[in-house]
Amino acid sequence: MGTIEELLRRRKELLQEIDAEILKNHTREVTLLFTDIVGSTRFYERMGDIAGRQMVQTHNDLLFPLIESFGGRIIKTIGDSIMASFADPVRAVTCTVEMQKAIRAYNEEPSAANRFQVRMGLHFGRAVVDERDLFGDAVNTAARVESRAQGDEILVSGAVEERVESAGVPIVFLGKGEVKGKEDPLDFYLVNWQDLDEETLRGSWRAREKKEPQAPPADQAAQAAQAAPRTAARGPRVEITAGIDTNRELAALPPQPSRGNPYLNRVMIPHPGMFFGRKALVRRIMSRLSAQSPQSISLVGERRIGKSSLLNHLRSPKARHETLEAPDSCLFLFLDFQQTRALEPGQFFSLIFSELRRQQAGRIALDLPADDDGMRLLCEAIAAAGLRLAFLFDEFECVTKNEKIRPEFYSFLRSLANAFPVCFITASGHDLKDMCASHAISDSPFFNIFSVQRVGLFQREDAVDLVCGPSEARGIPLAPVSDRILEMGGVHPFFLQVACAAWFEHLETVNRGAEDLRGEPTPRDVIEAFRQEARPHFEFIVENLPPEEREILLTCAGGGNADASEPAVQNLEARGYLLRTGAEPVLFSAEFREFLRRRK
Amino acid sequence: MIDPEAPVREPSGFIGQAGLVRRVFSRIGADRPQSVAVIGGKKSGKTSLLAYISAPGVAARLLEGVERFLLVSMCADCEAAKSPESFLAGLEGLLPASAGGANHYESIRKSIEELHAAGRRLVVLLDDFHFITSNERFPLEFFSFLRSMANNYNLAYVTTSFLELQKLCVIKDVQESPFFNIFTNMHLGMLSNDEAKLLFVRATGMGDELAGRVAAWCGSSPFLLKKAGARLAREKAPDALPEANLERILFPEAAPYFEEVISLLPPEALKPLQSIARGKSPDPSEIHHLSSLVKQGFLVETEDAVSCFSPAFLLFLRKALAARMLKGKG
Repeated sequence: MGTIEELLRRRKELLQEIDAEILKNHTREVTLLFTDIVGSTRFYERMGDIAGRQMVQTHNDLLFPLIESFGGRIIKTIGDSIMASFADPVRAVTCTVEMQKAIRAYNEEPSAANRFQVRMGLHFGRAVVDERDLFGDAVNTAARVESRAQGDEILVSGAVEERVESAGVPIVFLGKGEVKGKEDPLDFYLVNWQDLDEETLRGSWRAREKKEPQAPPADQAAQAAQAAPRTAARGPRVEITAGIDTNRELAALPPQPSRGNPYLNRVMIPHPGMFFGRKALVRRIMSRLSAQSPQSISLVGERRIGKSSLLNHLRSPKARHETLEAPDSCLFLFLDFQQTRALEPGQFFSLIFSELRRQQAGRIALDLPADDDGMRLLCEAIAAAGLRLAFLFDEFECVTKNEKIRPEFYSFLRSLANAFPVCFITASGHDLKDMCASHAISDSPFFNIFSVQRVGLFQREDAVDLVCGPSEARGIPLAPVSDRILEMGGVHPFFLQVACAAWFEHLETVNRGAEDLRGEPTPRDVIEAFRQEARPHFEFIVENLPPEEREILLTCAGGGNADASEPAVQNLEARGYLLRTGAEPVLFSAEFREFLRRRK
Repeated sequence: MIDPEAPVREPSGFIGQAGLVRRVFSRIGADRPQSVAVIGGKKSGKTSLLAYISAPGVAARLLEGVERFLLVSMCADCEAAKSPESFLAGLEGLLPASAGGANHYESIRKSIEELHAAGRRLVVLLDDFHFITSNERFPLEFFSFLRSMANNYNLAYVTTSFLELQKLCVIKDVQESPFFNIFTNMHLGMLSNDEAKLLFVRATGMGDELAGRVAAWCGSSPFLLKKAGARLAREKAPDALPEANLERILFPEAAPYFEEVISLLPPEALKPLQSIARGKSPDPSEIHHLSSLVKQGFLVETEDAVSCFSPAFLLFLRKALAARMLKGKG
């Protein structure tokens, strides 16, 4: 035994030897991956344990084989998180890209039962190996990196970036970020597997960092609280946090549905690939929108003529891409006022702000007072960002008929359209001026900013496209009977869909091609199915016409002629019930004629 | 013991309407689920049909990717029809709990939004929905909300009602609203001849031959067939009943039902019905007044003529004509 000094020295050496032994034989440099399913706790809560567990199983089945195929080792799973290690950082990053792609492909499958998003984080460092597990600062750091990612994102630390920069992996520097338990901020990089705009990504990161500041130490927080003014409520705020990337949105569109009867569209058409016709009208609207000062448009059309679908289509990336000169500079906000007939102006603005937050999530952050000032601030911010904003207002007559809204409100909307790159595209059953709560409103110069566009019947070629395109794509082409379908439903988008649906269903059931039915009369069940669905609508049309117009239709059904110069006849043409193919206007559909004939 | 009034709750006891059932499933199973309004007269089997559609085994057989669907059933009578709040509270209770909202509308919207985001499809089966559309306590906003949910999410409604929903509206704004545009109307008609015979045999345990005779005389209404079965079960040898006796026994069973059907007709329908009772064709310009009877299957329409669906119904009309029951404004 030596002196205390010798023993302490020996102890120190022994510890160093042991540490060296551990470092040499029980640690290794690894790339650590953490993943986590976004929102899974809420999913379990809402959908139940079985559905939640099923989702995790799908996730595991999808990702485990990929990790293993890239030489990764699954250390453990914690609930719906995966911890894995890779010897090679490049393979680790490549693997995460493949994992995200696999999840995207799964989510795009129409049959996907439970869609999910996963965030991923990677860090490179030395970790302590204990049997099959890994420990240490590197592990904690990797977990922290993952926790800063959002759904579909792969974040990596600077240590990973250094090791993969020459490997051609697309990586974007986002910025520095504080990490709990670390003195120095960490460099955060994003693996840009979706090929997104780098500036947009950095903008989004900055917004996120501002929104989620790291909690300061307790004493610092107390000082900050003391220093802050007592009335420091957050002021009005509008931030455009990310630009518009129409191409990316277009690429991210889910694939067009591919099975079943494609003509079952009794609700607003959701997929732009299923929207047919109106090409000239869409171009006209978009050219007004692209004008130096965007122009407002009032779309007027009968029930079931497809106004809501048209309005919805305008905001789709497909329509924007195909018809706007600068698609990335125009924001759209769709609002349906059917449900909100008794709004007060404050509620109107509040609805606009909340829907803007919802429909443009990730692009606009705003906190505005629900009044004229808030609305003006929004328009100013849009202008300052070099954007233009198109409000798509469906069933706008619900607003103009609302007695709670005073004429000044409309003057204010007009002033916005005059002062800012803002326009209104409204849809209504009749001219807005004829559907106002008071003369003071209908006399408002607000209505002068609109050019009225009628939404009427299809052009014949659009109708033929609708008959032939979707049916061909689903393997039951209707082209051989397209003339009969057009005769039945006319070139009216709704009745055409009904006729197509009946024919498609018949051919699907009897397992015959339309080609085989050439020369045969139209099957009884097709006629019955069409009549069952169309007749209540025919009845509605006829019962809601002025007597003079009803009489004209009945005359036409009885073989008589309508005088094309009469205003009532012209009105019926504009509404799509009479169609001019030759000199005389004729009824738009043979079935409508038959319905009227029987009624007569 | 046959109870003709009781709806069939067990899928194995439900017979017929195969074509209609297939069409309903093709609509709710479409890429974008589509709403269907099943319209059928009183005692036409609407509730039984809805129970059949919502049975897990049936949906599993007829709905592709059934695991993605959530089917919830609700009867819109009594409690639910008291007010929009009671209806929405009932609906909210059937949906997975959401993070909660300021009111029922908001909570339901959130639940539906979450289901939609999770790739699920919601089908809400609403029996006797006419109680709602004909109740003036349900404002336009209520129906607009239902439409907006169907427009924006993977959600469809399957409703039943004894008339087209629109015709039952008491509020003009509601009647003219685009809510009804989201529905495909399907009429619940009579059974096919084979289905009628099968139903009779299954319900009564009696023979095929008698089933054929009963269906041929009464007509293939499921209610009438069960009513006839219940009556014949009291006979010692129903199979041996001569035709005239069979008709004499069954007519009193069928007549009250026919009377109820006729009582719901608009006055304009009575004049063309008189023509049919007299064995004549109604004036073609009046045939459309009989459209509800045609849709329900009590009358059969050919090119320009209309006839009764069964000898029992024709006999009833003749007796009703004699008793001046068909005298109306028409």
